[in-house]
Amino acid sequence: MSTAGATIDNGLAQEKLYAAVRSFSKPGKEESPTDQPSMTEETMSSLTWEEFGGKDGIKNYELKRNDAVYLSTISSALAEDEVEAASNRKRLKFREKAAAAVKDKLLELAMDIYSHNYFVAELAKMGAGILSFQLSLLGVQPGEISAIMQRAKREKMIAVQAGIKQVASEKVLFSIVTGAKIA
Amino acid sequence: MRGNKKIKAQLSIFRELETQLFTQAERLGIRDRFSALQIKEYEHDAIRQHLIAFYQERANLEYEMSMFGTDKKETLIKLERLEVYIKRAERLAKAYEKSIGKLLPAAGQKLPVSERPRVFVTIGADQ
Repeated sequence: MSTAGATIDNGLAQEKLYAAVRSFSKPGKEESPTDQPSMTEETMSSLTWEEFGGKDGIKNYELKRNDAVYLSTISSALAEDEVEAASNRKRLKFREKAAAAVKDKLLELAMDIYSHNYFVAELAKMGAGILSFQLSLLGVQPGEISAIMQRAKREKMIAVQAGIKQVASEKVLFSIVTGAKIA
Repeated sequence: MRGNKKIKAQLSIFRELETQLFTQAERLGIRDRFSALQIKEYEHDAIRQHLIAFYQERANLEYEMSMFGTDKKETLIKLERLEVYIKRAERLAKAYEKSIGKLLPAAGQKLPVSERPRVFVTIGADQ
C-alpha cells in the first residue's frame, strides 16, 4: 500500500488504537480471564484509510497488537505532514513564523547579555542558550544563529555609545540650566 | 539648601548612569573607546549644540518681539533667561576647551599603536 498522496483519519484511527490498547491492558470486570482473547491473533481494532481522491472509497484494515507501535509512529508522522501541507496550502508557514519570533526574542536577549546587572546578564545567557537550541530544532543554521548574536553585539555597542553621548548632553544641559559644577 | 540637595541627587543619577554604561562598554570590550578625553569631547560637542539651539531661540524671540508685537514683558523675561544660559554655556565651552587642551598631550602619548598616525615611506627608484 502506498502512503504517498493518502490521507489518514488520524483522530478516529488513534482513538480506536488507544481504546484497543486500554481494553487490552485493563480487562473489563465482566470479562473472565478465560474469555480474554489471544494477544497475537485477536484483532485490536480497525483503521480507516481513505485513498486520496476517494476513488477506492473507505477501506477498513484489521489491526493486530504488533502493529500498534508502527501505526502510532506512522500516523504521527503523517499528521505532521498534514499540518505542513495545510500550512503551505493556506500560506500560514508556522515554522517560518515561529523561527522569526524566536529570532527576534534571541536578538533582544543577546543584547541583555552585556547588561551591567549581573543577574540580568546571566539570565539572558541562559535564555539565549535555550532560544538558540529551539532555533536549531526549527532548522535554523548555526551560522545564522551566530550572525544574530553578532548583530546583537553591534546594536548594543551602538546603543551604549548613543547612551553615553545622551548622558553627556543631559549633564551639560543640567549644568547650564542650574549652574551646577559637573567637572 | 534644598535646591543643593536636589542638584546633588541629580548629579548622582548622572554618575550612576555613566557607571552603568561604562560597565556595559567593558562587557562589550569597548571600554577603551570612552576615555576621559573622549567623554570631555562628547560634552564639549553637546555644549556647542546647546549653544546653537540657544542662539536660534534668541534670534526667534527677538524677531517675534520686533515683528509681531507679542507680549513684550514675557518675551523679555525669556530673553533674559536665555542670556544667562548662553553666558554659562560659553563659559563652560571655554573651560572644556582648556581641559581638553591639557588632556591632549597626555592622551597622545598613550595612544595604542593601531591608532597612532601612520607615515608611509616608499623605498625604490622614482619612475
